[in-house]
Amino acid sequence: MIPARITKRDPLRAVILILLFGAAFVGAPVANHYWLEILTEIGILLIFVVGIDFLVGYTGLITLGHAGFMGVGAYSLVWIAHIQGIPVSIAMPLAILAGAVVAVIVGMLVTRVSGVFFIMVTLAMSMLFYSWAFKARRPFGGDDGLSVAGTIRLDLSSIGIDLDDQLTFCLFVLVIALLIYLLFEWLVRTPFGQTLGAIRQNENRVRALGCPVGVYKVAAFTVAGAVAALAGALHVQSTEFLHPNVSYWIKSGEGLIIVIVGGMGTLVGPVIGTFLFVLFHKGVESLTTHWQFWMGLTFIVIVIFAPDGIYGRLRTLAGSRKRKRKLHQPLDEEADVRADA
Amino acid sequence: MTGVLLRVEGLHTYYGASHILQGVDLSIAPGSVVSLMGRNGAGKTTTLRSIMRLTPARRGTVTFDGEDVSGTKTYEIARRGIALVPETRNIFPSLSVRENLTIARKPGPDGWTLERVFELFPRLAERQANGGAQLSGGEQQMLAIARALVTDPRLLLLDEPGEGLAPLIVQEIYRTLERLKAEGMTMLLVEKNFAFATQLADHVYILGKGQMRWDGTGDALRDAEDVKHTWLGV
Repeated sequence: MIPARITKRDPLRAVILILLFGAAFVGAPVANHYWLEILTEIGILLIFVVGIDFLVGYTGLITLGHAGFMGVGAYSLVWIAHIQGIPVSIAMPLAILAGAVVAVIVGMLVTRVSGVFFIMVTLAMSMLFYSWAFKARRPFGGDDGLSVAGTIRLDLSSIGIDLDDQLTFCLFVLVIALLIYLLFEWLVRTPFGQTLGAIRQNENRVRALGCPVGVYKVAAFTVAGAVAALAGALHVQSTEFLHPNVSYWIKSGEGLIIVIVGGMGTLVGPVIGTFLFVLFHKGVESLTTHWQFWMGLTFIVIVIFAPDGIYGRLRTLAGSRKRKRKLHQPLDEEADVRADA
Repeated sequence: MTGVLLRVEGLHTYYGASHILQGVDLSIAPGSVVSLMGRNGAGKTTTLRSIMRLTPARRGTVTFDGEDVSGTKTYEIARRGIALVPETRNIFPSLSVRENLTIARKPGPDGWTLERVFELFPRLAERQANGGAQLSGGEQQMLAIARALVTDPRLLLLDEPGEGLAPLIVQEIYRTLERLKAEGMTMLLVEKNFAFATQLADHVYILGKGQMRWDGTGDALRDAEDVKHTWLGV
């Protein structure tokens, strides 16, 4: 894993961000319907994925159930706006709040365990939501899904923004994605974020320094959960169709794969991963029905040749990693066991 | 000052089925330095870990400043004012020197500020922007002590602070501990260097096979040949 520490001056990071976001913002106005859909999808997935990186790469909480919070965001928004008829401008913050509240409750349960058990419990929690959504025929249409066209888009006409216009909506999503990315960049540099990094490296040591580790983990889980709910709320606005698949474990798995392939604990790596994942997916999908096979093969190759992820590899190539910081020092747990003797 | 800052009574700690601490008692007066000595595997580190509840004891009580903290969570024990400097140091490698200190810092009445620990360890001040993994062993040890100090502890637990370091650095660490003692810091020191441990400490406890075997002043220990021979092997 690449150290969570962000090098203070990292030109490569800036170049990558400017290139990717620049291409998206410049490309959108000239894009056709198909490409606008792709760019919107990239923006939404990006919001979801940087939240996963915050949990996995910084806090060390490897979740396989993060899509559950996308589901909470999407279903809350539909229930409040589409079914209760409350304006989306009110419903959307409430949907994010719902994600945060559910994340606090789920977080308090799941952070009691760690490692493989954490992975399994988060998976179970999200599948709990999925199976409820799958059966929730009324009012959500169960596994048939529910069309919410015309009632779910945020109305910003009062400030002269027409989100029913596809290009405007796409740019709106991309701006939010960029803001969320910057939010996490800021968060991981705060003492709060650094404490999370310390927890990942040696939980007991942080505890012995007087820090309530459990509270920090739940807080991280909550931030990531609220952000995933935002992604879910945007997703259902984009597709105007609600379906349980938004919370399916494969979605969580994809997010985790993007984080690993991009370079976890770097935030910018998962951004690269998101662009590549969506573009590769669309590209190969148009060539063969067996796109998953080629995608899987590509990921295996990437993980073998770039164990630090794409960004880690780029950084090595750019020679900006001269420091001999060894990440896999004797695992801290081992050190603790030695200390026990 | 009289009284007792920390009292440990009848502490029994297990690792799995192994009965490591078999009824450990000790007490520390405020402002004093207590050395805990004993052979490898005697249970010195385990005693420190049991006090912090990093390895919870199965029986026995730990009283800190008159309050029973036997069932208290580790982070709360730390917040009440006990800080452990582990033998393995456990610097956070991804954080810089300064960041290692800022995340641990808890402003308190005694006012251990970053400036004050940098004054104590000028070497850390020079390296405050360096990553935790770029430090030498001695610098890591200094950082570990500094990191414990900024939590503003009333009791410092030190686990072999000189272990594995170059003699000159060890001397530097020792001088720092002497200075902390002069400033009135209460310390429980696990140390193998007989001369230093007996000279710094107001009181020495000898731990052997999980039980307290002897206690007294450093001077008394220097004359107690049989105790030294049986429980320390010197």
